[in-house]
Amino acid sequence: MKPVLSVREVWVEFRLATGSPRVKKSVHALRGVNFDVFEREVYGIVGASGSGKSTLLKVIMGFIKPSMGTIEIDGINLLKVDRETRKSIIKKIGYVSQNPLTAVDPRFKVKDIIAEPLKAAGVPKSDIVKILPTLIEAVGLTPEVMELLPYELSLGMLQRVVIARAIAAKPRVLLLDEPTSALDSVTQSHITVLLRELRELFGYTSVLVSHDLRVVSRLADKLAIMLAGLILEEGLVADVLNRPLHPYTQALIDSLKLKEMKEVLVADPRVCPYYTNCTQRLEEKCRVLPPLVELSNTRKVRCWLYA
Amino acid sequence: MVLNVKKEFAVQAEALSLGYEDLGSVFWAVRDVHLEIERGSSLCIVGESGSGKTTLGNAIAGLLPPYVRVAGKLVIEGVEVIKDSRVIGANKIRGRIVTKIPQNPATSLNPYVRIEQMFYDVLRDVRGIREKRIAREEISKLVSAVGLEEDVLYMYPHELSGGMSQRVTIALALASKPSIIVADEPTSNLDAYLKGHIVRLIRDLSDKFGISLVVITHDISITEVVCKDMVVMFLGEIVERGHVKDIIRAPLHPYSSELIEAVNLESASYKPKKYAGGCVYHARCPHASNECLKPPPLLKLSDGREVKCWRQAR
Amino acid sequence: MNFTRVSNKGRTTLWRCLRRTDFKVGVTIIATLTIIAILSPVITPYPDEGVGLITEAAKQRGPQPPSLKHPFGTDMVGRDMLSRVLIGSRYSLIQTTLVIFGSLAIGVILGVLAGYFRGIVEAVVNYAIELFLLLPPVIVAAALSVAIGPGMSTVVLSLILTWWAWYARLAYIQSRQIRELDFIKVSEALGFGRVYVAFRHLLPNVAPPVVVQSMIDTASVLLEIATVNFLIGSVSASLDTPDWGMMIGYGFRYITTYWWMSFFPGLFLVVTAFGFILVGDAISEESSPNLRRRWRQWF
Repeated sequence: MKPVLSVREVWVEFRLATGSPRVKKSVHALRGVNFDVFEREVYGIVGASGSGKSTLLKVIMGFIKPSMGTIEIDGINLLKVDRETRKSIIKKIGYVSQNPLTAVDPRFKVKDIIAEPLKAAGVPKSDIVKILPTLIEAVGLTPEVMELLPYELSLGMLQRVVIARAIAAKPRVLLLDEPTSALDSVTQSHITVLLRELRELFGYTSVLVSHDLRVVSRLADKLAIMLAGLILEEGLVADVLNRPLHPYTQALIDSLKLKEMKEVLVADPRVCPYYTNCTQRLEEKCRVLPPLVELSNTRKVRCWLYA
Repeated sequence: MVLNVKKEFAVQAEALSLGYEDLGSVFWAVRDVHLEIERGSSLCIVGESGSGKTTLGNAIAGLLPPYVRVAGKLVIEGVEVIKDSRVIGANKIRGRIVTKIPQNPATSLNPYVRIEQMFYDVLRDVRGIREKRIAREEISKLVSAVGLEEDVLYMYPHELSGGMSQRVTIALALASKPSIIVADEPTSNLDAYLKGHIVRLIRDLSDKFGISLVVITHDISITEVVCKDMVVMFLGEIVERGHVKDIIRAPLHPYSSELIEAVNLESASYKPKKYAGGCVYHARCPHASNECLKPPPLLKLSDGREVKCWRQAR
Repeated sequence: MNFTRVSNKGRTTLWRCLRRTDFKVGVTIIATLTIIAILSPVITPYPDEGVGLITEAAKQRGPQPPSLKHPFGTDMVGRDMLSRVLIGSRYSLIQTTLVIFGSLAIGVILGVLAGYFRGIVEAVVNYAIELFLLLPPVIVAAALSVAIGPGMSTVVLSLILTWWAWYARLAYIQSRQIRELDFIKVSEALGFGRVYVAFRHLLPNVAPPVVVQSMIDTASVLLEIATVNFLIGSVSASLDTPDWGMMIGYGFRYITTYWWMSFFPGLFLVVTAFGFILVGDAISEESSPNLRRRWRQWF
C-alpha cells in the first residue's frame, strides 16, 4: 500500500544573523527527516520547541523551502513540479495552526472564514450556503456564530472555526500544528475530544505535532519523537508509550508525572542530541550521531543502545 | 534560612471585589472573595481564562491598573492595600513585599537590556545596593539558586531559551527579597517537558527562603507539586477551597471535577449557555437543576474546606 | 453586585468617541462648517460678491471696516467680507477632502503593493517614498503652477504629491508585519491569486490605522493648503477667489490698516483647524486600545 504523504531526507537550514557578513553561521532546523503517512492514519510528532516539528509542517505546506529532500503527496513530489500543479495539491491540505488569533482574518466573519477553502475549490455559492451549517455543527458550534467576527469569540470557539476551515474542502491531508497549546486546560480537553470525534467521523490522513505527549497519545496512531531536527524514535503509539526505547522518550513519559527534569540544551550537531542529558550514554560511542535503525516494520530508533 | 512562621497572615482578603471600569459601566472580574494565606504557606488559584484569577493575583501583587474599581478589604503583610473602595497601599508593597513572576518571560524582559543590568537595577532600586562588588555577590547567589550558569548574565533576553528566561524571571523576583511571590501561570508558556522542573524550582525556593507563594494557573495538575492549599475560581467567584490533596482526591464542586478530568483530556464539551443568574457554573454544570437558578450558599466544612454548591447543601 | 458582562459588541470606536466632550465639540464645529459650506450661496447676504464678482454696489463702497451692514467689513474693491468668508468654507473643505482622499488612496495602495510583493516593487516604491517625502509642498506647488498653470487643482495636486508618501510608508510597515501572519499564508496556500490576497486580506487590515492617521492629519493638511494659498495670495495683485488662505495672504500687506481683511478668514481657519484637531485626537485615542484612557480626569 502506498503512503499518502511521504517525506524523504528533508533538510532545512536557517542562516543566522551575525555581526559580520563574512562569518556565516547556520543552524539546521531539520536534518534528514523521513516518514510516511498512510491512508486514514494519524501520524503524531512530539518534540520540544526548537526540535523542528513546526518547521516540518511549514515545509509540507510550502511556507519554507528545504535545502534538500522530497515531499510526496500521492506520489507527486511537491518540490519538483511546476507552480500550478503544486498549488493545486497544496490546496487540498488542511492546516490548523497554534494561535487561532493570527490564523484568521480579523475582518472576516466566521462564515466567510470557513467558506474560503470552498470558494477556492470553486464550489458554487448556493452549495456553500448549504454546507456551512453542517460544518459549524460538526465542530460543536451553533449557527449564530456564523455572523460573528473573530474578536467576539473565545479562543476555544475560534480554534473550532479554524478546524472547520481546515476540513471544509475535504482535504487529502490534515496538518495540525500544536492545535491545543495556546488554550487553557479545560479548552484543551474539549478540543482534543472534538478532534477525536472528527477522526471517528471522517478519518482524514493527518499529521499532528505537539510538545504535549498527552494530546498526541490520545489522537495519533503512530508516534515519532523529535529532537534537534532528527527523529529519535518512531512506532505505534501504544508500543512507544508502553515500551519506550530511546532514553529521551522515557524522559518525556516521566515528565508527565511532573518529575524533576533537566532542560535539554543541544550543543554540538555531530553528537547525539540527547548526549548532555542522557543517563545511559556510552561515553565514546555517543559522541557520534547514531543512525536511525529499523527494528521492525513499525519500529525505528536512533540510539547506540540498539544499533 | 528558614523563617520562623508566626501565625500572622501574609494575605488577608475580606469581601473583596475587583472590577474594571469602562465608560460608565463596571465589569466585576472578582466578586466577594474571602481569603487567608498564612505566612510561609502556599496557595494555588485555579481557574480557566475569565475566572478572575489573574485579576486577583494582580491585586495581591499590587499591580492593579488605574481604572480598577474595588470593594472590600485586602491586607498584605499587615499593609492595608485595599480599603473603603479605594486602592491605597499598592505602591508600598509592589516589587518590595510582593513580587510577581510574569506569565510570558519572553515578552516580560526588556529586549534592549542585558540580564546583568536587570539585576543591578532591581538591587539598586529596591534594596539600595549600589556597590558593584556586593551586588555581584548577590547576583551570583541568585543565579545559582535557580540553576543557571553565570554566562546568562551577559546575554540579551532573545538569546535565552524558554526555560532559561523563565528561570531568570524567577531569580529577578527573588532579588527583591520579597515576603510573597505571585507566580502567574508559570508553566503555560513552557513545553510540557519542563513543567515539573520549573514548578519544583519555585516550590523549593519558596521553602528555602520562607516566602509565601501564590500560584495562578489553569492547569490543576501542577497544584499537587507546588501548593498546600487551593481555591477554585469560576467567573469571578470562589467555588471551592481547601487543601490540595483533599480536593484532588475528592472534589466536591463539579467544576473542580471538570478541571481534574481535563488533565487527562477526558472532559467532554457542553454547549455554553447564557448566564441567567444564580450559580455561576449553572450553565455548564452536568448536574444543574432548577434550584441552581438561586445563588448557592457558601458551606464551610471541616478543616478549612468550603464549597458553593446546592448538591452539597443537601 | 452588578454583574455586567462587558463585550466589545456595539462599542465601536464611533460609540466611544460620541461620549467624549472633545469629540462632540469638534464634530459640532465641523458639522457647522459643512452646513455653511453647503448652504453658503443661500445664506450669504451678498452671494455674487462672495464668489468674486465686483458689483456696482461694491465699487461704490470701497474698503470698509466692520459695521452692522457688513459685520466682517469689505475688501479692497468693496465686496462683503462675510459673504466671502462663508463661501470660502467650500474651498477649504473641498481642497482638504480631495488631498486626504487622493493621498490616502495612492499611498495605501502603493504601500500594500510594496509590502506584499517585495522585490522590485518594494525597492521602487520605497525609493519614491524617500524622494517624495523630501519635497516641500510650497516648492512643488510653485513648480507645478509653472508647468500646468496656477489654480485650485494645482494646489490640490501638489499637496497630494507631497502627502501620499507619508501614508505609503505607514501602509508599507503595516503590510510587512501583517503579511507574515498565518491567515495570509493560509489564503495563499488555498490557491487564491496574489492580487486577491493583497486586496481582500491585506489591504482591509492595513488600511484602518492609516485612515486613522489621516484623520489626525486633517488639520495639518488644511493648514498646509492655507499656507500655499497664503503665499499665492500675498504676491497677487488682485484676488477674486474667496479662499481663506489666499485672503489672509492678500490682506496681509494691509494688516496695519485694513486688518479685517486677513483677520476674519484667519479666525475661521483657526477654528476649523481646531475642530479637526479635536476630532482627530478623539478618534486616534479611541481606536487604539492601548492608548485608550478608561478613566476621565478632566478632559
